[in-house]
Amino acid sequence: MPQIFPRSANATARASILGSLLLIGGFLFFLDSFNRSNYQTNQSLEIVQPVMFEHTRHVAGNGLDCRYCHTSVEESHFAGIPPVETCMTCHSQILKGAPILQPVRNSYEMGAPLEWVRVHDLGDFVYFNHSIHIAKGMACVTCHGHVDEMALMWQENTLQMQWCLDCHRAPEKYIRPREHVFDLDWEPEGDQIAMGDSLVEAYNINVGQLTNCSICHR
Amino acid sequence: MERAIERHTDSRNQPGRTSAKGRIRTHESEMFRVNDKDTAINLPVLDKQEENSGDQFWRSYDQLANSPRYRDIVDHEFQEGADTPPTEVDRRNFMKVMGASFALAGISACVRQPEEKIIPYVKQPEEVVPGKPLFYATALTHGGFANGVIVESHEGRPTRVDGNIMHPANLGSSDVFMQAEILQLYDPDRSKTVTQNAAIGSWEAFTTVIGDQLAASGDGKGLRLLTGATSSPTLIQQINDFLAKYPQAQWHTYEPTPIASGEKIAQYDFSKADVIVVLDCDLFTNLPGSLRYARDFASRRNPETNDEKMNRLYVAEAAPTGTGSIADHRMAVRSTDIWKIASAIAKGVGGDGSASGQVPETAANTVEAIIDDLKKHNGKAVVVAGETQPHAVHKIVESINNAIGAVGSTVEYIDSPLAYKGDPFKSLRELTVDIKNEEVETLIVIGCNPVYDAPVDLDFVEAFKTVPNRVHHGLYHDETAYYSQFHVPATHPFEGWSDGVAYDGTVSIVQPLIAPLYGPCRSSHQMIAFLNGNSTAKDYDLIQTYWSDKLPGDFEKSWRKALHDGILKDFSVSVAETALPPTPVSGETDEDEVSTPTQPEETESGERSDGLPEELAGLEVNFRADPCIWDGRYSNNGWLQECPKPITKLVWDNAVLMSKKTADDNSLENGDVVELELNGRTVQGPVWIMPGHAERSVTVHFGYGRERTGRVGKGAGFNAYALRESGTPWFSIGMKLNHTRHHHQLVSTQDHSSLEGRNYYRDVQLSQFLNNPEVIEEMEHVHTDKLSFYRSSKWDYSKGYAWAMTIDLSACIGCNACLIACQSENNIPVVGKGQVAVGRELHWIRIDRYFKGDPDDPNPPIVHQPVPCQQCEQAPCEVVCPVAATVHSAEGLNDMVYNRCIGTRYCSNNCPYKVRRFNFLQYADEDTEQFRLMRNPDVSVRTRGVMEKCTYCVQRINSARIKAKIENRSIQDGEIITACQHACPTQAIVFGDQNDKESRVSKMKESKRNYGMLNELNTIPRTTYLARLTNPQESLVEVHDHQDEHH
Repeated sequence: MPQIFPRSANATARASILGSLLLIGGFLFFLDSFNRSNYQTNQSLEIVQPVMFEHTRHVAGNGLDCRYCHTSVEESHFAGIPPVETCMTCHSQILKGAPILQPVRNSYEMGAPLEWVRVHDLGDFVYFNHSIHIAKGMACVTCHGHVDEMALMWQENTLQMQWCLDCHRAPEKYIRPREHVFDLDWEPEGDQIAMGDSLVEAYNINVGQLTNCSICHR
Repeated sequence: MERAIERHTDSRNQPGRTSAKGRIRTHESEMFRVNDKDTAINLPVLDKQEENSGDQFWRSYDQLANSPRYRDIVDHEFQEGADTPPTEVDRRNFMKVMGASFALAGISACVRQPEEKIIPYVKQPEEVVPGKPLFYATALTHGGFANGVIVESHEGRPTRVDGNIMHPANLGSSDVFMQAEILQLYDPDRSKTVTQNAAIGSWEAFTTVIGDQLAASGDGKGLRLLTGATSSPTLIQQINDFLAKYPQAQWHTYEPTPIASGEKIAQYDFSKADVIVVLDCDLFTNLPGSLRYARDFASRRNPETNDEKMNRLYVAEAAPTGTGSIADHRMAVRSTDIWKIASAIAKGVGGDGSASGQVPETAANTVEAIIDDLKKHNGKAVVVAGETQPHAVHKIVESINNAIGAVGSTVEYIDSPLAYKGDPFKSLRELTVDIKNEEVETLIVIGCNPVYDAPVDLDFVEAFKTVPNRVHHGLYHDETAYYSQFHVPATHPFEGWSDGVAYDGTVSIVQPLIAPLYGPCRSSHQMIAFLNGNSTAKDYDLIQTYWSDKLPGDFEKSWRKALHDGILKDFSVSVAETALPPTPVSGETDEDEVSTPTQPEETESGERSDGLPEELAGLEVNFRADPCIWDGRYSNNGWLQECPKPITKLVWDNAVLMSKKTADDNSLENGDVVELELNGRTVQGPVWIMPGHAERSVTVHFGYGRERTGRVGKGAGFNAYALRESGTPWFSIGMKLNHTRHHHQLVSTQDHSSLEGRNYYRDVQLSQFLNNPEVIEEMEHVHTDKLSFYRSSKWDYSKGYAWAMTIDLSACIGCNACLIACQSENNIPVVGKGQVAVGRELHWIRIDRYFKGDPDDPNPPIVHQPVPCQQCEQAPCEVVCPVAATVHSAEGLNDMVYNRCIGTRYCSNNCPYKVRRFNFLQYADEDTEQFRLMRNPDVSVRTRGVMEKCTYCVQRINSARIKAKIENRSIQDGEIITACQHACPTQAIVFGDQNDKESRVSKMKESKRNYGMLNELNTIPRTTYLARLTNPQESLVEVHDHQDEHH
């Protein structure tokens, strides 16, 4: 009885085994890369808002402090988006008739709130708290990037758990003195790690505990 | 080893109880010992044969008989079919549908997060910090009496209710009704619109039509107002104005299950009472000051803080209640026999013992002991009679209280703050008679539902239908609304302004937390204001106007302070000084008074002597308010429907409760539907055998069998009002039981999460404890070196915070407040009766109820044990989780990470305490808008396929930790209060840091009563229990050598 498969079938079989392994591997690699891609994480994507608010102008240009608008950042989990009333403190005097501010004036007059699109959107199972980060020397710029250079706001980092853990495992890499938390241009003098270690101790940060699940999930 | 297996199999084949000694024996020699020869590890073997013996704790007759039903629940933690959804869909279709979902799930993983909006205020209120809740003081009424509450509000959404610590009626604790009010507010089945002749109407149409009727009535002839019990001073004033405007009009009140009637109400001080005798009264749930009473009572239950002394509680009642279960001596007697006990006690202590009757044999010894005790504790004892007992019994009790020097010390009689006093059924009876005489033209019903809950002998429904103009105002479009031409939806107490008076006369202003969810809702104040001629009145103005000339000092200041504190300080209405009882104790009797409170003249068909019921043939039937859904007003509240009732543990149903003997005599079993026949009327209901129920007596609860209610309450239970007569509202004799051959599935959680006879509950008598403080420790039946299967934790728990909890079993009255508080705080969904039947209830804290001792004892002691997650330091659940979704935190919490859980359920299988709950289906209703408003934003809403459990309210711990860290200090003791702890009326639950040696929880853990459940497993639970102590009278203590039992 003649052989059903020619000799070359061995090679084909090997090639197809290898090929399918590569295919599966490739697919997994693709999935992983896809999940880390900007498309998935929204990282670096400029978000269009109902009002073309420019952080560049307000922060870099006018020198407003973060807390002028994000008032609850030091006391609440939520930094706070300013009520329209806050905008109108200046804009009832400045750029009174500017068309770009029409939605703001409408909102103020009609009492209908503006609907901003959330830029930093964590999963609903994550309970992030701004106030404790501010109190322990985590600067705005560390997570949010150079907001003063963003015309339209975007998300500077991936906001994936790995990124959170990078700091929660070793906060000394990013921590800075409390008084410089809102300073966008502050640079450490000397070695960050050495300074970080001493600040972690001074601020009484229990590093081991920071990776407990219930710190963020509950 | 062989021996052990043999016994194990043996016991499987011989169900039932045989042995005399009750302890489960494990043999030390067999524990965790590595055998030198074959290096096999011998595991401890539970001796099942002995587990069910007479001296032990047991949950049900099913358990004692080891019936197939019981084994089914216990052997299959996840019962058969527990993983299939409850649909008609067959497996094939299911796979097809799921196939599609799997594919969709795959795609959805590749879809980006949906865009979310942030909507800030236009003008932000000054006090609001976005993301931080605000707390407002207000009040809720129960039976007309106010309790102070604090409501948590997240950006304008009320999400949670807790007691107001400053309020004297509850001192910060709460009951199930207060806790569940938040669900009542957001109930999507609430009435949302005015209806006119069953079609959608409008407030304007209502005011026009009824306004014309008012005008036509001239001086109010034919005009009648019917309200529920109320203590609101403003409402009472408004109604008085109404009566002044329409002199011919009349005001009637009706409350189906009043908690206090009479001109004067008794106000007790249990903190001063050494001996308390309770006659047919659920002291801790059914009185105006129940929550306060529970606190005062429990404060005297701990001998370690009270000079080695405890108070002593005697209870006589028919159906067991929470009060009966905590009693040192409980007498199971028929309600019809209570007067005999009262009379005998009166005779013994020198009160009015003129009525004569034979004290039931089973209670005779106890009555002797009571008399002895009352005499010994003159001025430090008190006797309490329940609202359910006739006026004559109350009079005897007053005479006893006078004789033992209680009046002025442990009890005071104060003027009732309720608008209407006296026989609670008299007013409705008069109204019905007037309707039948065609004297009523317009009837306006405010805040009650008499078509459903009026006593059946009045035939109120037929009468009501003949009234020409019928108006109903209420939270639901209920039975009365159905028969009314106009229905006006009511505002919830969290939606409007009002006021109320507490049991001691303390006044609270009720302030709204949210604007009415549905536009057409009107408050009762607005309804009366409309009758008084102002259809656009605002309840804020009405309340403020009333109080404007009554508050002391600067009005604005006092008003703001009253709102802030939740009570009007230095101001209370009509509290009498230490007064004599309202009626003469002996000698002449005021004719009017005899007929006032509970028992009118024409009661019961039999002979009467001194106004007391004589014994008649036949069974006794008791009518009581349901412990969960009360008189029916909470019937559409899923939390309360699914709350296992304190003693029966039934959910979603009421039943005909009776003793084992009564059931056997009538050859009845659980679930058999019987027909109750009383005075020619019948109703059918399923039987539930209740150990400890009085013989020849049955108890039924109100609130079920609703015809017009929401989706939740519909179709549950049977209507016990169908037998109730206004003359005998609480119990009646001469009832017959007829078989129907039908069966109804009753669902009780009593056998769920069974610990199968292991050593969980410990209790001793006070004298034994004082003789040998180590007695609790000695109950540890296995002493192992601290060996464990599990590797020790990587955390050093001796540093930092170590969260821990103690639960004092001496104080637990099984009231379920903790359970509903937990449900509210932690967004725990309701699963429904069918799901509870297969063991899928989701309550994170359960209250195990055990009977103790001989199952043939007609009156076995009843005990409660709340069981939340024990937060084991060496947690068996953690090692079996394949995805590390449950792991330990540095502070000793057994964290549960919902977003990581893949639902293998191994953890639950490996949990010796059975405290983990699994979402078999998508129970959390994420679509109903109202429920989204209701949820606690600090806790995840779990989806299908996720395990969940108690976390010690980790959201509260985190919030306190963050606050303390920002302020650079450590968390103070008492700063974190778990939801269950806050709610607990008796303060049985204490939470705190056990590394802080000064904390309350540390002090509790130092107690000699402290023990860990299933200590022998060396899981090192952070939740521990304080063993229950009882304080029986020496003369009633059976000779019982406890020491022998444990050695």
